[in-house]
Amino acid sequence: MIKILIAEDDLGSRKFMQQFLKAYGECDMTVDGIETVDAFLLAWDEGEPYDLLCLDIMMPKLDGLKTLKIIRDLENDKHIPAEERVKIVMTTALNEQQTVYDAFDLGCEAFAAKPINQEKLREVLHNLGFDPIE
Amino acid sequence: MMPMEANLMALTWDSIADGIIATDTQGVIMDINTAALELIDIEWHEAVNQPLDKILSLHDETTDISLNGFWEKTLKEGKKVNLPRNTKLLGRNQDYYLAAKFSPIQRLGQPPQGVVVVFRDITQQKMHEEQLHLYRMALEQSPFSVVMTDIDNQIVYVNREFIELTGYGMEEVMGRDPGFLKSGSTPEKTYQRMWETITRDDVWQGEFYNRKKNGRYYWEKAIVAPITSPGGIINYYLAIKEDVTDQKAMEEELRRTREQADRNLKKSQYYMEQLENARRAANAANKAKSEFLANMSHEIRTPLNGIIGMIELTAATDLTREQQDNLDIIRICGNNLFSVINNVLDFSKIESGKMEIDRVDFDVQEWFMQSLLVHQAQATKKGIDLVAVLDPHIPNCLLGDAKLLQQVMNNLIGNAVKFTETGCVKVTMDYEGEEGGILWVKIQVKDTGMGIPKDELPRLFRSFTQLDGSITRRFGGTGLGLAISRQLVEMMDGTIRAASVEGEGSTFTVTLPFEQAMQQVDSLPENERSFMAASDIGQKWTILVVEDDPINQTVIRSLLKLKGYQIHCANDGKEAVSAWESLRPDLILMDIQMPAMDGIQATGAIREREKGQPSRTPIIALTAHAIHGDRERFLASGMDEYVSKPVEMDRLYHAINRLLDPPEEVGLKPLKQKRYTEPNNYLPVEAEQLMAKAVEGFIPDMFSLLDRLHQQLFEEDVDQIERLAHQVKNRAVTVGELDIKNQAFKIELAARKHALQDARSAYNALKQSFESYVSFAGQQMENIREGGK
Repeated sequence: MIKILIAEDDLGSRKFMQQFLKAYGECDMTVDGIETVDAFLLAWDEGEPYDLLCLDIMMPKLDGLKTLKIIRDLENDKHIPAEERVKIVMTTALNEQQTVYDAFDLGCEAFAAKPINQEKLREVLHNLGFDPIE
Repeated sequence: MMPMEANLMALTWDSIADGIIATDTQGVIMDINTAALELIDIEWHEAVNQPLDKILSLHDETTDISLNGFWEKTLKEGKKVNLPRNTKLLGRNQDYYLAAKFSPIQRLGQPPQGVVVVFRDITQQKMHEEQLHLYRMALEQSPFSVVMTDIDNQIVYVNREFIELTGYGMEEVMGRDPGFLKSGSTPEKTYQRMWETITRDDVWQGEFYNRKKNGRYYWEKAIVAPITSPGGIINYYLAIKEDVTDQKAMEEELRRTREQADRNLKKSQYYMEQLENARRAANAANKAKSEFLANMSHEIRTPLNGIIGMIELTAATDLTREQQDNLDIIRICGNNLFSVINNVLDFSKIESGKMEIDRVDFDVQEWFMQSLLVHQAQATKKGIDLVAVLDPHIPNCLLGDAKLLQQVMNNLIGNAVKFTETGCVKVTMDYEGEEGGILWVKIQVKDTGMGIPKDELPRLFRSFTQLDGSITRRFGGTGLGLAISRQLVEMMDGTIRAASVEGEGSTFTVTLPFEQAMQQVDSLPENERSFMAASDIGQKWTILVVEDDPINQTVIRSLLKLKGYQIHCANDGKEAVSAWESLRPDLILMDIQMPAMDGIQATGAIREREKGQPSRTPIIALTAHAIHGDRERFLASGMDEYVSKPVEMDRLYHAINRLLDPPEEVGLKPLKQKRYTEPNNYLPVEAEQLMAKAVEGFIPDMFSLLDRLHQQLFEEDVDQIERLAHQVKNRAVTVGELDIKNQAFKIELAARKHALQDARSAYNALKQSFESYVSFAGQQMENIREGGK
């Protein structure tokens, strides 16, 4: 059972992601960047880190890009090997090229634009090694 | 030669017209002729043997000296002497101008025997000469250039001005054809015409463009006249010319200026036209904008109305838990969308200057309570107190725009409740005084919420800002609320201010002027005031719903049916009238915009038929356009009330209740008691104290929070659990208790995924951590107190 963290401040989107992803594993939900980092660290400290993180870009307190950077920096500090790092999929309602480039530069695995195409998301997750549990 | 006979000689001597005087070598007059005697005006015997100089008094007019001794000169020099030009003979009665010649009387080779002077009166001549001289001077010194030519067109005379003007000398021009002055620019035709004119003995006037000797060009105005001899034959041409070069330059200047002015006039005419076009375009655009706004307003609100209505309908059916949850979310989204759209439409309206302020009497108390009631539910849910205080000095009724005011209140109170997690929101309305017929009222909304950072305060009322973009996502809203509130308040000539301390709370103050109400209505007696939505009517009333849009019809019908009313429908005004005839319903909901016969006409028809009858059917107007003056219009046409679309069901129920005979009040206890007394559950100062970061504040809070959390875990209200856990987490952070914080966070996460078991185990862990914290802290406090003794 994989552990999934959904970082999404909009209730509707969150509900949707949860509905979609609960087929893949256990989902925790955070509503802002700070909570996301906290949850990430908490899971780590307890020895059960998250396998997948769906990170919204527009979030309060700390936006998605900054959160992404912090998480990757923390992983670097701890010298976590690449294959053990949490897989991160960015989601956003925005459509800016620069944002996409920045996210990839910072180290996310995939990018999904809202409204999210379920088929595409399924495909992306599959490519990352995640499949729904039968 | 034989000398003349002596007598003849003597006769001749006296006949000569000129005066003759002969003297001897001493200048003594030997003989004098008649002419001389007449000229001098003396007798022969008076002159003879007298000295010449005595008799012939000569005077040089020019030098003004007497002339004499000429005879001596003649004798000495032995030759003829002429007198100077202006010699005058001073006669007895008159003076004459004289021309005189002195000659010696002598035979060739022999010494002179005497002098003979011959003289003549040239006064006439002189006069003529003088006159001539005058004419000459006139021509010569004339400021005009004068040229005289003969019939062969050769110059016979030019004056000084000509010379000065043209630069040519006298010798250069005399005898020449004046054509050398031509510049070549004067058209040939001019010369032709001139010749034609003057040769037929007429005077010609015209202009020449000529060239001076130094090559400079000049303009001259000329008058050329033929000079005729007494016989009438033209023998000379006289040209009098004036240098008009400067004048011409000025004329040109003037012409250019006038042309410029003309051009400028044309330009400004053009601009005026453009301006007029622009004005017309702007007006058209403005009109289009208004129409657009009105249409958009309608087009957007209508389907939204459908959505919201359908949500309610679906919510009332049997649903699975999941469907219920999903529907809740749709409802929240729908409501959000509704308020966002309202904000945007309002903002557009204000921005395009289409927002109008009403001036209507409104009941202050009712308005005030309405503003608060809307937020009561949310406040209760969040566990915060909503407190209201209304100054009794404010009159019962005021004149203003109650609807827009309520919008402002809604925004402020809504914000206060939204951004406050614990404590209270206090709304006060105070009378500030009267000045010149204007009543000033101060409304304050004070909360104990998260507050606003100091550097954000200036940006607060600007449109499109929320403090950080995240607030939008976290709390919803377009960021327009406060901007609209400010605009509305300012349109009503009021002021709005915000004060805040981050982490402690905010106070929004609105000061507004109101006019005296037209009539002061006493507060309506209690049984007519139900400002709470009555939850269940129970009575079977018949309502006729007149509405042309089928979806709206369905929605309203279904919702009213749920409330127990009996519903009949009509699709347009005509049907409405006949339905009313047959049904005689207890109340009519009348849509205004309908085909065939609209709501106003239908109402009119019904009222007409009601004339003379005892009962009157209450009619409520439903309209998507709520514009200035509509309410009055509807009331005037016979309606009793109006509700704007999309229909907020609470409002509709309220209106229906008011018009039908309502039962005794049910629901919340009436808030109007607060008009006169301060409520006793009002905590202004304690609210602040709650924020104290002192440990002694934290512990009691935590006890209370954990208590409630425990309860909620029992009641399994995941939303409350999440909310309470969030609060616990925040409090824990303020005192640096990381364990407690993490455990609270875990409860939050568990609640979000509805994992109650996980939440409960996290709660147990939390309780333990807290208990150990309490004993530890208690120990610390003991130590401090001990130390202080």
